[in-house]
Amino acid sequence: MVTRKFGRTLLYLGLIVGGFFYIYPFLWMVSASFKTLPEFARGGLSLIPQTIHWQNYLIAWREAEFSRYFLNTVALATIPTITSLISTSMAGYALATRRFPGRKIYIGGAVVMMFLPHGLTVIPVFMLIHKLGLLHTLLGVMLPSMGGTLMQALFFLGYYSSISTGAKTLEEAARVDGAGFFQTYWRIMMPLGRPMFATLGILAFISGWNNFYWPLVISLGDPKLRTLPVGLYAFRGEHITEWTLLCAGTTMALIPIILLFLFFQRYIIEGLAGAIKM
Amino acid sequence: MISKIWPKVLILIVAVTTLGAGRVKVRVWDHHIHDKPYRIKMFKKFNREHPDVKIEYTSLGSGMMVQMLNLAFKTGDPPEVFKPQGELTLIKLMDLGWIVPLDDIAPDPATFKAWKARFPAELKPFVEGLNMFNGKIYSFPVSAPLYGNLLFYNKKLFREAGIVDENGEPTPPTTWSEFREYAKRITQAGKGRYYGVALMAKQPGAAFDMSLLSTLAKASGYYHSSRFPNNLKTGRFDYSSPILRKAIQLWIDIKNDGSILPGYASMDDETARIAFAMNRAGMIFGGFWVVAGFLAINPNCDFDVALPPVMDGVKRVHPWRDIGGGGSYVVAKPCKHPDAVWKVIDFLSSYEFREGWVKYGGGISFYPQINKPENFPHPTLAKIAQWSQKYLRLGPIIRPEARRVADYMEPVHPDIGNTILGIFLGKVGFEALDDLERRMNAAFDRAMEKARKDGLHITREDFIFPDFDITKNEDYVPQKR
Amino acid sequence: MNTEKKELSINYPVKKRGFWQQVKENLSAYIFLTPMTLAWVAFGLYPMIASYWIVLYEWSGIGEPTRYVGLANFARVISDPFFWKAFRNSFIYAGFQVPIQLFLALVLAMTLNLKWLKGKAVFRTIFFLPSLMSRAIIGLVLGLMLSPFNGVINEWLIHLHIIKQGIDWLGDPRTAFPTIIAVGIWQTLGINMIYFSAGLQAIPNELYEVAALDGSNALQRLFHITLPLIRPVFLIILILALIGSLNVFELVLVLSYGGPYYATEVVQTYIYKFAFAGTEISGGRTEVGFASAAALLMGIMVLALTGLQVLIVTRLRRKRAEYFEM
Repeated sequence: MVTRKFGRTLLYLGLIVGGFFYIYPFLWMVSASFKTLPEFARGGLSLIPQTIHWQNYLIAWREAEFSRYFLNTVALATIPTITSLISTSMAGYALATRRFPGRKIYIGGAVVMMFLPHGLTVIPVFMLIHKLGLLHTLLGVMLPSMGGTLMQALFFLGYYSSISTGAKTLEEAARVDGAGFFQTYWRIMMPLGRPMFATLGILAFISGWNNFYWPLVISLGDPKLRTLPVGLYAFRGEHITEWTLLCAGTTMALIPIILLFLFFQRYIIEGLAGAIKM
Repeated sequence: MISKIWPKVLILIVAVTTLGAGRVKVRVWDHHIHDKPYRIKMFKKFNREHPDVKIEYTSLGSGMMVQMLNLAFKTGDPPEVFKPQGELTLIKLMDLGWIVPLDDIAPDPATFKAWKARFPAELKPFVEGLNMFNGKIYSFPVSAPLYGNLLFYNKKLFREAGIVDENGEPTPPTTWSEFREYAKRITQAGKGRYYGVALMAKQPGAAFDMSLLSTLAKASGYYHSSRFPNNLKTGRFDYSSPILRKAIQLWIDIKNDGSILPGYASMDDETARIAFAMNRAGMIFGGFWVVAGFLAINPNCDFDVALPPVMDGVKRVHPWRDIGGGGSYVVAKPCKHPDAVWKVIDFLSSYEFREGWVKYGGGISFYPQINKPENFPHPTLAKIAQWSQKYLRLGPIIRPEARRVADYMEPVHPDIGNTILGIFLGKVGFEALDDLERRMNAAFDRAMEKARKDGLHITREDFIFPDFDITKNEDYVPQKR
Repeated sequence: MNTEKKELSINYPVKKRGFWQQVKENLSAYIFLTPMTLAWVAFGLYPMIASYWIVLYEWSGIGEPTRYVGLANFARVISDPFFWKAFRNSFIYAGFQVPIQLFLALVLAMTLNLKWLKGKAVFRTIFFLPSLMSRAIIGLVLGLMLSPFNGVINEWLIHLHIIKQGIDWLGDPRTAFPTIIAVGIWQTLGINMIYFSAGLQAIPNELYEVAALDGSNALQRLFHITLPLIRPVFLIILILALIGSLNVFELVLVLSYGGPYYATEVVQTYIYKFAFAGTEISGGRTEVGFASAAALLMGIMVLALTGLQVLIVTRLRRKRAEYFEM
């Protein structure tokens, strides 16, 4: 008993120490966010800044126009997540439950596409958004990611395939009741897919939150459309980087998703586990 | 969550689209960040004073600028005012048909004439083929030609190392051997706390341009050009000059002495400047923009500037300048609101704007009257201005048509900066320079071929100035072409 | 095999009629596929084709491409030793980063899956934190911390008397690549830990309970239950990790920019330099066609290698199955 307790305490210790070192860069960044620029440049080992220069946060909020970027980022994280989940789950469901001509080619093609580097696709996408007349709109920022990734589709495919036997009976029951394809989907498949929705949804949210390259390109002509990562990047000056402001801004941008993850990580794992189990 | 966000997003979109109504928006894009706060302040002032025009200023990183302009023009919605950058030189912009002459947007000829008169004619503000085409002006100079890169030295560390004259004033090195010697002495005095010189080798191109090509080598008579052949007698790229090789050897020796601030291979320019400002390095090469950086990190930094050290036994050679002044803004082609844009141009070139800019430490103005010593925030800037006006001379000018060969040059990889870095680190030998020379010349020949196919008349002769003597510190006047 | 062929020939005329029948029957399936397909053709396939079409041109990215050069770009890429160096580096990076990171992620996932452990959520968040941060910002912050002058990491090592003078982690050609690999591991560990955690939770508890009743110890349970049952998930995680690490970009770009002297240059930084950065001091301009050729070449090679890998694995599995059938 004693050895077991000892072993357990050792493990906890190891995790805490390991964890501390693991997030040390984050702690350092938070501490830097409270320093003044000269103090920052001086270096030093202490994680506690000499003076709590919280003005950095105010300046970052103001200068980086954080409120606007925050809103844009929230939009870019939530709306494409919702639409992509719907569209990929529909596709995954169709691919999983119906053996139609061209199915294998479709799946094969999707896998191949995942491997090819996306090259310099920014410019053609930009021109497409322009032709759709959506250049200076938030919709234009969101549109490219609203369709979902092939990976999401493949995950749904896997999930729905594995539950297809159970699903088939439910489907049959629904059809007997006179429900069409859409109703079947809405009433049955979506609820069944809930764990997957939760998992992929949260991951998509995080990815949308941190999305950098595309928002950078489309918002360079229009600062109003900027998202948080892009706005933070602006602190990187040509000759001087306002490091302390950058740290403050990054911390502010991170807190929401850290909290989100902290509360939802159980669902993410359970959702994935549910998918794998079947 | 969705139902809460949607209305906010909708309101935002609506607000954003209706906010600008009634006021003409003029977008200004450039890539300079060291004086960005000044411009932001001035543009806010402009917006307050002009109810009918609103300047929307965006500062882009230079890497993205070219791509973004490209996209902006492709989609027919370019920024009204911007600064030519990188590949998009003024000449290229003319070729692409992306810019309009300032003559056409001025409200009337009289105003335009008065505006032109602001720029002292003897300094040749408008040059046909450079910023004037077919007699019409496309851009105006903002800054005066600058001396270039110089040596900044930390007076505090010099004193501690005892490198002073009889009055106790620090004496900067004037020759290469002094440079090496002083670096050594400072390092010894530092005992690990500080070192002789800082080098930002993470960016080899910029590092070795600032710390070697445009300073040590140039002052000793070696001409380097990034785009065109540097041997003005043969019209070819030339990296076999002993001056260049000795300069590289000098840096290798300094490295072996241990006088370079450790970590140079991964140090970028900003970290190097922080090091200098925090009294960890005694010397650093740079241009006028580093001053603002030093002062931001350490307002009490005690430093001064000196002309770059010259090779022993060689007379100092001063750089020459191109004609005209420092690059400036242009106006994009579909100019929908010429009156509003003219107001902005007028503002940007106004005496008030330029004076504030100099006082902020943004640079040295094209208007000589502003460059009074008391207008500069730091004495070093005044010195640089003085030297620029005193020492810069007119050099050989390549024909505008010939300059366009740069558009056809493919990237040569590794370039001179990386090659020097390789030699410096001991990864390759000096023969890498010969190899580079071969490749650059081959690429250049190919570029000229392609240019000729496009109808341009460019030959090697355009880059040959047989009567140019680099060591003569006077204006170059071509005998006959 | 032979019996199948016979069946086909019998059914052949029937199949032809069946095709359109099948299409009609599955109309709803096609409708369901439409949104995603539409989005993917518009924002995935079309841009890819559009950006690959310029591999046949020599184009700086400004204005319109006019100089058709056919396959010359490919020839130049293949003959460039620096491309192959970058290619090698990308694989070296993946070769170290993936196995180490996956091993650690698995160990961590197993540890954090222990029934009696408290504070799972907090620990998981801690280790997932680097994956939440934007890669560019990570590069900036860690670059600062690793600086030999003023960098926190060196200052700590000196303070603890482990080293006397700051090590130039990113500047010394010997330590640059390992450092970047370490940062890469640090950054991606979290997400794979989550995937593994999910895989572990998918293993029904009853299996463990039965095994425990049968008298097995923890180690036996590990090797006979956990590891085998994780295998399918492991394959997916492995492939995703490989693709991700072969395409490493922002991290290297910000930390070392491919330096010093190309010691850490990977394919994506090579492409970036030709497509966007140009070469600042040497007067050459950007070359999008060339960069796209390099990208396409890399993509094809990765695809080929992965295809080969899958082929080998399935063939081995089949051989094994046949062996056991005997």
